[in-house]
Formats: sequence, structure tokens, C-alpha cells
Amino acid sequence: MNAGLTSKPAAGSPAGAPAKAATAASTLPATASATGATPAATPTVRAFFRRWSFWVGAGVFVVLASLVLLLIRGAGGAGAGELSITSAAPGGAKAVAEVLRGQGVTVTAVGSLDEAVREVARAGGGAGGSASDSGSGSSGTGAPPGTAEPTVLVFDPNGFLPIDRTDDLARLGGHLVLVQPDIFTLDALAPSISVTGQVENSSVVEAGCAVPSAERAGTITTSGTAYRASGASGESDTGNGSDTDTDTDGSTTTTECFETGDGGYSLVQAETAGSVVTVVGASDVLTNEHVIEAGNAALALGLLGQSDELVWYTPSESDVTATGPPSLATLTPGWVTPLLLLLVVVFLAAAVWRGRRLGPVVVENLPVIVRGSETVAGRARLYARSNARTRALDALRIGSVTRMSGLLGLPRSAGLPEIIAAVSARTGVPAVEVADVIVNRLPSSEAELLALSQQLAALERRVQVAVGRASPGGSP
Amino acid sequence: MAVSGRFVLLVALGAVPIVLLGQAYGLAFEALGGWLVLVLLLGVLDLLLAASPRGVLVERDLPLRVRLGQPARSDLYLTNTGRRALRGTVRDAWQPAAGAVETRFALRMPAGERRLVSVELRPFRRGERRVEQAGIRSFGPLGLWARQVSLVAPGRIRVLPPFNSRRHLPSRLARLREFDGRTSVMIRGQGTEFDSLREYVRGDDVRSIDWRATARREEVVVRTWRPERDRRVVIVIDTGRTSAARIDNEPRLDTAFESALLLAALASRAGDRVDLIAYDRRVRARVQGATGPELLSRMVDVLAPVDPELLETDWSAVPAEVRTVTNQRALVVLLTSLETPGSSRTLLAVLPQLTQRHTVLVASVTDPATFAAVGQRDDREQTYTAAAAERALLDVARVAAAARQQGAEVVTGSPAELPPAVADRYLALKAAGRL
Repeated sequence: MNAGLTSKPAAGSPAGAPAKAATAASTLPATASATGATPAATPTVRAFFRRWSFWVGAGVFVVLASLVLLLIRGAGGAGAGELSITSAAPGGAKAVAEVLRGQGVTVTAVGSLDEAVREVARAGGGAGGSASDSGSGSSGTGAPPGTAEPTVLVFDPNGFLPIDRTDDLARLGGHLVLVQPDIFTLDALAPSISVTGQVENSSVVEAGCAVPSAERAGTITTSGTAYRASGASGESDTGNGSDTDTDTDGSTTTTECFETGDGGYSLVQAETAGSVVTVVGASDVLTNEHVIEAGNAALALGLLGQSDELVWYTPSESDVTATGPPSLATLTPGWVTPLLLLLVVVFLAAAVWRGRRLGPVVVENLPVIVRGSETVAGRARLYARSNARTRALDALRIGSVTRMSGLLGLPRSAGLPEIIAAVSARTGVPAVEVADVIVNRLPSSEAELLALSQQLAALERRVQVAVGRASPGGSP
Repeated sequence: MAVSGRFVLLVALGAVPIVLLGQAYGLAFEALGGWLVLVLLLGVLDLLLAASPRGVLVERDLPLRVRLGQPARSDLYLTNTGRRALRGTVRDAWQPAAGAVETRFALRMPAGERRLVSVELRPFRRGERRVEQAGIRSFGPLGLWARQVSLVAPGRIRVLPPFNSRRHLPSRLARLREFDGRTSVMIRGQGTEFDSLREYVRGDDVRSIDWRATARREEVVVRTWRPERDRRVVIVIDTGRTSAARIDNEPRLDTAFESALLLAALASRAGDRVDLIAYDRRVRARVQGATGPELLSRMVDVLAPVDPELLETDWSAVPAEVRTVTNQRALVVLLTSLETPGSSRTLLAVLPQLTQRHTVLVASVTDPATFAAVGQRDDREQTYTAAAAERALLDVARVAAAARQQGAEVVTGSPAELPPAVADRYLALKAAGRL
């Protein structure tokens, strides 16, 4: 960036030309008419790009490549949800949707309840006439009578389904396939069916019931969640799990298929006065990965292909209505966000303004700084850490004795007894006491060390005073 | 390129249209985008209209040397050879230790004109101080964006050692003069030279009466002496790692320089020939054969860029180095540090070789803080510190005693005391005729 725009090649002199006017320190300045300019350390724009062409190219390539990747991934990721009919991923349901389309079923994916209701209304109105001409919509499976209204598949793994909008839910029609619904969805759409639990182990199970598409499928692989007919269907357990019972109060007939053990079933169908709600617990039946196993494909096509129209409804965030007080975003004026962006730009510009150096950093060799007293301080800490009292006192004593013997004019070869005698004679301190301070006493505690060292200093000062070399209180 | 504070302000002013348009018409984002585009266009326009800083001719005029502690002036002549008037800033990129008082200057140069920029330097460290580049920033007519270039304009200034100890020189020279004409009673020794005969005055030592001369004349005549002349002094400065230690906020090496300069000044006045070697494992500086006023100027010049090296001094090669300087008997002054027997072992091993042929003077800086620490014994910490300081002093005393045993003279002192102490010892040796 620094080379950036600083050099327009048209500007005056060729930068690379050798400067004729010497700029040595001692030369006198040349006249203003001197030809040639001072060479610049900053490269020109062209030189900069020539020098850094590889890295500039590499940078551009990386940016472009990541953009392309982002676009590709983004396109795939838009419909990449679980059981999405546009997703070719293992968890998607593109295979089922495409096969159904190939059989003439119009598959429409919607993301909100409003859309779903609109689609159902449109298909229900228009499909009534067109259902008869194709005939292949039910792919020869013997479509149940009176199924002009479209099949609606509801898959709601995130719990976005607005179950409180009962009117709209009712308008979804009487042909619902619920894939792995939670208990709230069941309460709203199929109150006669309840959840029994998760299916831990995937296994192949027999249909064992009278639902036509299940019978045709024969076997499926179990997965997901297991359900059972609830409430008044207590006697249903007495059979082999394939019985059909009729509620007396609501005239609801529930059928349970594909027992997964523990009283749960992978498919439960409830039929009330012409409207059929099928709960599919094994969502793997529809996935690209597992649809080809066992009779999965047959079940999926049989369930979803009963009508010419299939509305594939996956509730999304748009189904969630906001409640409560208005959020901060709705209260702020529209110019706040642009203003914040402007402040960011101002901040960046200010950073460039203050941070841009006028020329490179000037380097200089700095001298090593070693404090001369470091060895003394280090040794003192070593003494203190290891409580080397005797050693420390020894040093103090030798120093003091040497100085005192010098002060008293004793020869270098003088022994301790002579020095003690001389000190005692000069200061009037008893010889025993002097000997104690100078040699005899050993410090057994820090306090004693302190006391001894202070006595030593005091003794030395007395010698100095006695000799007349120092006033009391002077330093040794 | 660079931007100005004015540009930042201009960008910030975009808040006004954003708020106004956003409040009135809900066009806040459009206002933001429009303002940014406008500002960028203005910036690019400004940049295109700015004079090229590459067309500036830079010349320097600065003194070669300056003594540490004295100011110097570095002149920078800038000539605008381009076709447009240049308006902007110039920065003279001196090293920090050159102590440039101000490095950035506003610049306004019409086409073809020349401007002088004077930088005041107050160097705060000895050595060679350099400047490599001059940065020029050229703003456009709007003062928003600027073109910027660093122009190669090298320069250097040598900052000489301060020689603060020269204040001790007059008193030492006076003492040197006192030696002249002294009679043998005051000054004993084989080394003094016969100077002249003069009439006896009361107070002269009768032993210095020259009876033969007296017999020739009618009055009593005494001999007078003068100090010996034309002796060799070889100063060896240790630039090894121990000379890097700072004592009283001055590296040992700088104290050694002060001592060497004072001694050289004194000895050259006394008629002796002074040579200098700065050595650690190789010769860092050498002054040989310089006499008179040239000696000091060459010494400061040669010593200015010498810094302590972080390696152990190789003393074993020093006798050979001294031999390259002179074969005569000389006073060899070793400016080093005597600290512990361990670190001084190599020096002590070499000393006999030197003392055999020469008079050797070893000068070492001692830390006054160590002396002060010995007397402080008020608490546990201080007592241990006093013990450690005492141990350090004992070590120094041991090394000094060992050096004396090898026949060398030893001078120690704090950084302030050492240079005059070395000079005094030189005078004492001279007076004793031991050179």
C-alpha cells in the first residue's frame, strides 16, 4: 500500500537514473539547476508490482477461489437441510422427490404455513380435474378413493410449526404425512397418536398391518422415533400389533405398522372421517442414503404418491411470529447503521492518518546495559536464600579486621591475637568482647547475625574515631 | 500514499448527509455510499494533482565531528526539480541517539526553488550517528491525500567522547612543571636527567652542590634536574565484556576513555610519546606515532565508535601487541577491571611477561555503591548485601595484591576519581624516575 499511489511515472525525473549531484555529507550543495534527482528508496508503483507480482497474483487467486467456492457451497447449502428435496446429500430427500416427479407428481417445497396453505388451496382447486387424466400419479398402487386433495408432508425437526394457528393447520387438508413429529405437533394434528421413544437400533421389520402402502412395502428399516396409538386404544396391544381399532367417541381408526419393540411402531395411521394422518417415525425411509434399503422406497412412494400433488412443508423461521415488546432494531432509526459504518470508515482513515510513517523505522544498535552492582546483588540474594549466616559474617569480619589492622598500623602479617589486643588497647573495649565480635561468636539466628554485624560496624567506627580518621558516624 | 487529518474530518462530515437524508427520505445507505464515493474521488483527484516528491533533490551539509554534550547543526538542502509546487512535510530520519530536536518540518516549495531545513542535533551517546533517508510527503492542493517517498540521502556524524576529565589537566600540568628545576633532595632516583647548573641559594640541599663547577667559578653552584623526557607510554584499553558494566551510570569503557585521554594529554605535554590500543580479541582501535595536538584529536576520533564487545578479552596476545608498538622500556597502562580472581586469571597470567620489560600500571574502576553497601547494616537484606559487597571488595583486594606481586602498579577508583588517580600515579612514577 505504501508504494501505492506515491509515484506517477510522468512526474519529472527517472527514479532509477544515477544521481549526478553527489549528496555526500561534506560536499557543498549544488545549484538548483542541477540535473538528476536523489534516488528514492521507495519503489515506484510499477516496480512494486513487478517485485510483488507473484504475491499479488496469488492473493487475487485466493480471493477469487474462495469466492467461487463460497458460491458453490452457498448454492448447495441453500437447500441442504435435512430431508430437503433439493439436497443430494445423504440426509436429503432429493431421490424420493425426483422419483415422484418422474411419476407425474408435482412436488412443491414450501417453508411457511401461509405458503403451504396457499399451495394446498391451489392444488386442491386445480388437481381435482387433472388427477384423473394422468393416472400415473399413484403409480398403479391403487390410489385411495376421493383423494383429489394434495398430500402434505410435514417435517419439522426444529419445532417451528405454529401449532396455535389451528385454522390454518386445518386447511392443510385431510391427507397429512407427519415425519417424526414431536408431541406438540401430534397434539395439534393427530391427538390419537403419541410418542413412545427413540429407536436405538436400526433393524428391518415387517409391516404386519393393513395399511396398503405398508403392506406393499413389506419391510422397512427402522430409525428415528417410535409412536403408538394412544388413549382409548388399550386393547390394541392384545393383538400382534397390527390391529385396527376404532374410537367410539371420535370415530377415529388408528393403524399401527412396523413394530420396533417396546410397544412402539414406526408408522401409525389415524383416519377420522375421511381425513388420514400418517405418522412416519422412521425418517430414514425418505433419505437419499437409506431409501433403497428394504422396502423403504416402496413405502415412501406409496405414502407420498397417493395424490398428484405433494406439498413438502418444512416449517422455517418465518413461521415463528414475534411476540412481546418491539425489539431494539425496530425502534432505531434507519440512519443508525449507515452512521456506524461511516464511523468504522472514519476509524480506519484515522488509523491510516496517525499510523502511516514518514519513511521506514530507523534502526540503531543499542548498547548493552549491565549494571555493575549486579554481581553483588546476586550474591547477596544467594546468601539470603540459603541462610549462609556464617559465610556472610566471615566476609564482614575479614573486611573489618583488615581495615582495622590497617588503621592501627599493624603489619600485613599480624595475627588475630595481635589485632584483638591492639583494638582492645586502642578503644578500651575488653579483649574478650573484641574477640567475641571478631571471631568467636557464631550466629545461630538471623537476629544474631544482624546484632553481630552491627557490633562489628560499631567496633570499626570506634577504632576509626580512636585513630582520629573519622568522625563518629562516618562510613567505613 | 498517506492521508491527512483533514481527510478524516471530511469522511466524518458524512454523518450530516446520512442523518439528514436518512431522517427525511430514508436514504441513509445511499447517502453513505454517495459520500464515500465523493470522498474517494476527491482524494484521488488530490493525489493526482500533488507534486511528485521524487523530483526533489536532497543535499546535506553537516559537520564531521561533534563532542558529546555539544549541539550540532545538520543542514538539508531540498530542491524542487519538478514542475509543480510542492507542499508537504519532510522528515530527516536521524537515528534516535543523534538526538535530533525536531525531525519533521513543513515544506512549501514552488517549482524550481530550493529550501534549507536545519536540524539541530544533540547527541546523547558516543559513536557514529547516521542518517540514511529523508522522507518527503507531498500533499495535493486540497490537502487530503499525499504522495510519499523516502529519498536516499546518507550522512554521518561522529560523536566524540566528551573528555570531561580535562578539567583535571591544568592542576596536573602545574605539578608537572614543579618537577622542573628540582634538586635531588626533592626528587630521588636514577631516572632524573641532569638539567643545568645554577647558583646556590639558601635552602638548596648541600648535597646537590657540584663541587667541580664550584671550583671553576667563584660562587657555589648546584646541579638541577628535570624529569626524564621522551619515554614511551602505551595505553591498552580492554574492550571486552567486563568493560560493558555500568558504574555510576557510565560504562567502564567510557571511564577508561576518560582516563586514557587525560593521561595522553598530560604525557604528551610532559614530552613522552603516547600510543594507544583498544583490544579484546582483536585490535578495535589503534593510535600510533601521533604527537602534540594531533594525538588527542586522533584518539577521540578513533575511540568514538568503539563499543564493548560481549566476549572475554584475550590477554595472552597483549604482550605481542605491545611489542609491535615499542621495543623500549615503556609505561604500559592497562585500563581494565579487576573484579574476581576467576575473571582476572588470564590477565594475572600475562602480567609477568609485561612487567619483565615494562613498568605496568593496572587501572580499574570500582563501584562506589559497593563501598556504600558495606556500611549499611540495618536489616537482614542490607546485612547480606553488606556481606556480599565486602566479599566483592576482598576479591578486588586479592586480585590487586596478586597484580602487585607480579610487579604491577594498581590504581582503583570510582568513575569520577579514576582518571585523575591514573594521572597522579603517572606523575608519581615520573617523579620517581621509573619510566
